[in-house]
Amino acid sequence: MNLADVTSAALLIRFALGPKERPTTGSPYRALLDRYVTDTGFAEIVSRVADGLGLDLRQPTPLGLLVSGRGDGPFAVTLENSGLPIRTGQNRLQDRRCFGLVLVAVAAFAYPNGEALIETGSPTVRPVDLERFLDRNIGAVVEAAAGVEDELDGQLGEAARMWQDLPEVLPAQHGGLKRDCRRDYVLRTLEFLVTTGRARREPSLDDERGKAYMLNDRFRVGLAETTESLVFAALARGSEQESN
Amino acid sequence: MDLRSMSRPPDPRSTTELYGRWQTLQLLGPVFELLNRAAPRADFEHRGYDLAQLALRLIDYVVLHQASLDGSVSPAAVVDHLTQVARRMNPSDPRRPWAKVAKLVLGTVLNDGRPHQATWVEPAADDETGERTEAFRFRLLRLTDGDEGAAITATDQAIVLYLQALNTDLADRALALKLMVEIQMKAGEFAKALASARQATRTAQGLSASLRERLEDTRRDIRAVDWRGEMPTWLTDVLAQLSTQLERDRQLRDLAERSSADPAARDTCREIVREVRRGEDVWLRLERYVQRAIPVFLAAQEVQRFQPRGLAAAIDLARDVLRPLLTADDDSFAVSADEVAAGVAPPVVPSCWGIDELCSVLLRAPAIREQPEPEVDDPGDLGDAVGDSVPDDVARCAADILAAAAHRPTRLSELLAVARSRAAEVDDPTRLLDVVWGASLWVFVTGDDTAPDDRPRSEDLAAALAPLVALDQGIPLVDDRYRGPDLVLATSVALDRMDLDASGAA
Repeated sequence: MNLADVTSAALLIRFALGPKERPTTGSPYRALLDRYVTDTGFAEIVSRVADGLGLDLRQPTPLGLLVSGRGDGPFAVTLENSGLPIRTGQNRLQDRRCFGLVLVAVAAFAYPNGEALIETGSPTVRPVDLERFLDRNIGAVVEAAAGVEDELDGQLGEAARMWQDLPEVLPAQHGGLKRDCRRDYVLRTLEFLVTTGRARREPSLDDERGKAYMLNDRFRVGLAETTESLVFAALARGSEQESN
Repeated sequence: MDLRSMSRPPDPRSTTELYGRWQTLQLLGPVFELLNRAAPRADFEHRGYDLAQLALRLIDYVVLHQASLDGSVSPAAVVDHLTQVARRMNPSDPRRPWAKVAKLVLGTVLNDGRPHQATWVEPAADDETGERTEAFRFRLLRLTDGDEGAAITATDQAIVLYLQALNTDLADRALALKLMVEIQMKAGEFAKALASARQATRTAQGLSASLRERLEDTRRDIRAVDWRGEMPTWLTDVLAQLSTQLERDRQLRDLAERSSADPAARDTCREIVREVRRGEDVWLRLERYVQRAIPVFLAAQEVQRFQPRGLAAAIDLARDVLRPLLTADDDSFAVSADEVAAGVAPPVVPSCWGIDELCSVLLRAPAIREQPEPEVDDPGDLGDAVGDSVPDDVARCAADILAAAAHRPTRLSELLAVARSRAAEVDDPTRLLDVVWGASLWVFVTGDDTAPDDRPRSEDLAAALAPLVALDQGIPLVDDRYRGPDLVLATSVALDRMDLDASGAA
């Protein structure tokens, strides 16, 4: 091992931590990424440095090396510190619930199944379509609950109820939207994804259904890594409820 | 080549050929959807445009402008191009919906970056009950996020089917690339053709390398690759297509050699020939490799035949993730939402504050300018109120009194006397006197040219004053409250008559 390799490995991780860094042709990032892909010795050093920092390496994509922060490290990400515009004070709980709900809805809307998570491709999301999708799913849950005798089963959770109570849009006096409406939460979530390099605003695909946002591989790969544990958590909750 | 997994023919094998033709038919589906469903609902007169041709031109444009399968063209450029073509198709359309036409064509063929889907229903065999269905998912255009922004690339199916013919073997990346080389060479785009040829060689090398890798994986762990799903078809296809590829390479070499007669393109064409030869070598080596590997494949397939596919492919995110979260209690919801955020959002990078950064942040010019509170307009502060403040009863009574002047010329002193006599009719008799006096002066001052805004608010009063003119005959007004000339108010006709009478008398 060459000590200079350790510096290079740390530099690669530094590039990977910048959400807007891209491995463009001829850039140092690209050179390091190519080396990471082809040189197993170097890849090993990178993974060890990342491990020590509390980072999980995911996979190299054309948009760069994807890393995620482990829950116990300095790079840990939660809904609170992710950069979503969650307010403090009395609105904090509502913001947490609604942003969380929209984030999951974006994932389920754009990637309907496991195969879509494996394929490369960049689905587009439009706010109106996303809201309709979420409402349809809430409607399906409510409908399913109506046919179940046990009242605890299939009842809407707090987050979904809160979402239902929000107005669809709340126009502000001087144009734009006020907060505390569904559209505002959807738009802020999509803008957050744009800011963090997980999506792109794509005006050329806008149509009468509204603005188009295009999710990219960073979103897909990050989601793919967490999906299985989410599904297991949901299954575990389901079986727990049954046993109770 | 892994696209081939989407076109896996169903069993029994006898239907393979039928399935292939069915797929070809389905690949044309987006165009029919554009013509029969999207266009009639669109907000323009769709019969003025040849949308099917626009769809073909869309694929042509994307293919001609991507230098290789990794190259790309931006959605904005595609929309621009189609807008121009649509404009030329119907330049006199008064509503100028060309951009809408372009976006409709792109939107329908692209399908928002999602795959189009069709369902193959396998009929039940004679000795079985129950049919089975299989989803066929395909894309014609793929939306990707490239180095320079969003990019559209054509898929192999789109290139082969839409650009060449309907009876070609589909989903063949290498063949698609060679077709691209041919099209680009014929279009005189030799530099792009060379890039595509290199890409074709790289595809062959990549295929060869990934095959070796899979073979090694299979030797190490017989469950490492999916033998039930895509792998057997993939291998079968590799063997079946090798001869096609070699034949195609030979044709390409011929074309390149013929094109090298053009002195400008000679060097590039020679390079293309060299590139194609290298590709041929790779194909030949691949063929030998696959044949040697067949026993290993068979063993692996035997072991895995009855294994289910991985969990990932079976997940339905709406059913398995979103809906459970909709009913989850707050704690579970928070945990799951955090987990999604952790997966999707980039790691949080803690800020490192040095004195320099702190100073620059503290002393930075504010990004949002402070604005003073807006001053609320108070109607009392705005100078003149709109209209006048004459009470209705006063206005009505004054109009009645002043109307007398329209019948015969009347002096102001007479009008004031009448107003005093009718003081009981209004709440504020003094105001009535003021209005009559003021109206007379107003008529004297303004004459005929009154702007609409200057007239009294009361329509009665305005109507009574409108025909009047005032004349100062030099007689002073004798009154306790008012001073000034005792004006004569009359219509202009009456005044003319007075003048006439006066001159006649003289």
